[in-house]
Amino acid sequence: MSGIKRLVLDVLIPNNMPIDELSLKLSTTKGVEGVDILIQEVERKVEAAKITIEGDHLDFAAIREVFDQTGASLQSVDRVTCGKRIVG
Amino acid sequence: MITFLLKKAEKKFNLYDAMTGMSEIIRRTFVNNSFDGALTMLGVLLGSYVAGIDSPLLVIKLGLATSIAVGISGLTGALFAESAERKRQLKEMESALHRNLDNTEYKKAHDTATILTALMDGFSPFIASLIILLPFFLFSQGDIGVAYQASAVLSFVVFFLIGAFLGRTSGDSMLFMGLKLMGAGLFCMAVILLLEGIG
Repeated sequence: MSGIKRLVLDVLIPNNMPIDELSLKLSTTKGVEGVDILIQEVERKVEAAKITIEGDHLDFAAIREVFDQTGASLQSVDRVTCGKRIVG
Repeated sequence: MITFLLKKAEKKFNLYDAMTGMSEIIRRTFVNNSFDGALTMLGVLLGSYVAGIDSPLLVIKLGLATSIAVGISGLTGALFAESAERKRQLKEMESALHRNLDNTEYKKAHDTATILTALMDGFSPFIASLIILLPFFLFSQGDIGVAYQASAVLSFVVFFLIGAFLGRTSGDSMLFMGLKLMGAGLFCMAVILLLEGIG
């Protein structure tokens, strides 16, 4: 059985939180093989980021835990990719 | 093992600094409050000198009470002011993020910034004023006039060093900034001696 291979998340990050730290924390989470953080909008207090995470069996609860611990705020799950082959 | 722990602590400090900007606040607090403590002690010693106090023990007691007072004043004042300010920032951030920030790295960073700022606020005037009082411990059995003179010289050394540090931070001449703070000390000395002389 194959698990989640790719997640695209809409996340709000405090604008003085270093995103390299956040991406490194995400990349060391169980099942994660690659992370991409794209800042889409910079507001006065926060930055809206599109975070793409790839791996073979992504553990969504563990990923969510990283956001809970750091102080980032998961707004929505925009895309989930599962199955033997990545579609799209 | 110690190197590993130090590196880990440095990494954590840098991360928290990026989130809170605490190193800038701590630096400013250090300059502000150590100068405050040093100048206060100079004032106490000048007052003792003008009043004709010739017992080193009495000066030590006065000086120590002053050092403790400026230390505790700095520590508690900063703790209350800084934590109130940080709480406000945290609430604003929570509202912008639409979430509670308890038990997060972000909150820990702000708590650490509050504690470190308060410690610097308390210890810098305490240490600076104690340094100036030091000759009275060393000459407690000897001539008090030497202790007064040594303390006056030491206070200007402290003013100069604080100014030089300020110069290094701002990129200005360390010598010029050192002399500038010595000038402030000299002004304070002149005003006290003038007023006390009139009184």
